[in-house]
Amino acid sequence: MRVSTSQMHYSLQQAIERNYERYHEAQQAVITGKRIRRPSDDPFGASLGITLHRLLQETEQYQRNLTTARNFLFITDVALEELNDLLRQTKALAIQAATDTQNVEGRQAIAYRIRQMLEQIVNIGNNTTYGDRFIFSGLKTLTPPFRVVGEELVYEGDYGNLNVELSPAVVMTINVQGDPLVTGIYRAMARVVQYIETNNIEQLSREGLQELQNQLDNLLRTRAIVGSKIQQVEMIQQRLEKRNIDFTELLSTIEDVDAAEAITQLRMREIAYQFTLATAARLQNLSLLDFLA
Amino acid sequence: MPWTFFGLELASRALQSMQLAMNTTSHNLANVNTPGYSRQRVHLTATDPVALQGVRTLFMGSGVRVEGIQRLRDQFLDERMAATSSDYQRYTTLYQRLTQVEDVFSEPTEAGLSRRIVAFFNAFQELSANPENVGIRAGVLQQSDAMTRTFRELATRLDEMLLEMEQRIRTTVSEVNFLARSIADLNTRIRYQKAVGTESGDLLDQRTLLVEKLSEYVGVRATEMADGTLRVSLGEFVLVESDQARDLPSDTIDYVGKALVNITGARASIASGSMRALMDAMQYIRNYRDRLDRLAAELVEQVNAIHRAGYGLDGTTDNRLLEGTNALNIRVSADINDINRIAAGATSSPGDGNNALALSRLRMRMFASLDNKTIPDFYSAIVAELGQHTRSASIGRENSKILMQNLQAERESVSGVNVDEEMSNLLRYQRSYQAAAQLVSIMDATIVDLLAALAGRR
Repeated sequence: MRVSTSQMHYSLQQAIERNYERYHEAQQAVITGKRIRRPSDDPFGASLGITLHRLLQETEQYQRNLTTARNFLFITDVALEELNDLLRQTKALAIQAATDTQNVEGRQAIAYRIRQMLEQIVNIGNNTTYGDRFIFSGLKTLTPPFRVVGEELVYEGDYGNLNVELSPAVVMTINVQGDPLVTGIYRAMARVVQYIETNNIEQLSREGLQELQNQLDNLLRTRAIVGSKIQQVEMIQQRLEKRNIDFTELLSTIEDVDAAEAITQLRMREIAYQFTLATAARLQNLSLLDFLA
Repeated sequence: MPWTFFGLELASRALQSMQLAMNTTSHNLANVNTPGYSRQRVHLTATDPVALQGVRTLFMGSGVRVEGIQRLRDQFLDERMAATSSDYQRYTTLYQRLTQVEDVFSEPTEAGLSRRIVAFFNAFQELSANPENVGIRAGVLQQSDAMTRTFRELATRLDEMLLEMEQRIRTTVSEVNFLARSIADLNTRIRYQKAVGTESGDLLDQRTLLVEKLSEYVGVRATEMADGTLRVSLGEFVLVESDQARDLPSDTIDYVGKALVNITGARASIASGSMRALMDAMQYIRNYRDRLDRLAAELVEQVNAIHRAGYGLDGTTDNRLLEGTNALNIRVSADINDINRIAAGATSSPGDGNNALALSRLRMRMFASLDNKTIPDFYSAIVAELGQHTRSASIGRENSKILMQNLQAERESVSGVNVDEEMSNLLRYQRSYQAAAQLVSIMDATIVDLLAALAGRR
């Protein structure tokens, strides 16, 4: 094909332009490390990337929620364990008090100890907090849950559930309301103290001990629920961590360039560009004019 | 026998012809860098022979003359070139514009709206687990503010782009009208030249170039008429006819119909070129913009519906969190003049985060008004579509660029000037000129000899 002078220049220019553009692209890939820098680089990959980024961002939030839930449940569990200890001690003392060999002084001493433990129950109820929040107050977390009025423990909280989202499918209630759990324990123990103090051994052995056992059973059930929730939280946490790694990897394969490949490509395009420039320089120098005398 | 000065005349015709050939070659050389220039060739032909009557009739050659100056041009290539450069310009402009839109959306980066939407919902989850926490309440307010601001910035910048493009279309219209008038002027001159039989390649080149420029703005159809004039039309709308140019009206632009509507009602369809690209880009942007508006409106409505039902830490209820009706005016409501008014609770208990939880779970709900998509998905669908549009513009640009380069090479092969070729032609004509000059001096010598002989006899 016949080639005009300006066509030769034009083609050279095009080649320089194109090879420079490709060189620049390869440079960008190496510098940014990103394969997708704008949606049009790969529309499907970009929209998948947006979804994955969202899931990762949500996972981060879930991880924070899980930490909150776990800590809250742990603190609850510790408090329940303390209540359990007190209740068991009370029961042991009550059984001691119920024996016929026990004299009045001995019973008074036992009653005194149980009264001390009643104070401890209130202490546990009102001093167990997560941050500044009273964990037994339901949702009235800024109000101490219990107030002692005479022989009664009055509940000042409400019956609201503290719900935390742990995954798209799981919303968990993490709190245990102070009423009827703690108030029930208090009432049973207060009753037992009264029986002992009034030397009402018959009612102590018939009703008092039974009530204590009921409360123990109830507490056990609650602890089992809290324990299983802690397990569930830990399982979700593990699953989430794995999911996090999977998503990060997937995102990387979609969005990131393969470093070795990118650098090789850059080198290749650099060489191609050098060749283009060298060819251009040589061709530009050739002219019939140089050979005319 | 031929007459005495026959040889001198022959030599002088040769001199004149070679001079003309050299001048034309010089013209080519001078225009080696002129865009749209077609090289010209002197068409040399032998003059009619002279009949010599003798025993037999002999025909003797009488030299050379210039039959014409030919413009080397392939009209078919020109037409294809105009159409292709029209497409190239269309896709290039569209690609450039949509790339700017991509920049505005800033996806997939931290600056994009998608991260802000997720952060907004995350903030409510955080709040649901810690409703009494003042720091987290401040975080919710900050994320609400950041999200609504990103909406407003996006909408504002898209609106600015639309305005700028509309302005660009208007200037393009006046550019088109100017080119149309120039073509009409050239039509007048070419028609005159054709009538007197002195058609000039240079005027035709200029006109071809103008049509090409016109095609870059709007895809036109150009038809050459018998009188040499060019009829240029945009669909039904005749832009140039003979020596008349008809202005495209710039004040009645109907973008949606992808056409300019003229005052008398004839539609000028803009099939290609940068103007079509601007119209397409505007349509796309309007579409993205409308969907952002729908998203913002739905977000305000749904968030407020839940938020108003909840209670703040100060015990107030029925407060709105957001206000506004579209992407441009969405903002944090004036109701939230205190972070304690953020309604985390379904009840007025301070530890109640159930309303915040319901708000954060909004992100998973699908809405009929959002094409049965969730809020995050509805947004990412816009971005995916923008990516598709930009991508196909980019592919269109690459394809038409290759086609254009091939056509350019083909056309240059026919019409382009090659300096080396012209130089060798120049040498050729120079030598011929020198030979013809020599011929004159020889003829002159023979005549001098003849005259001397005649003088001697007397």
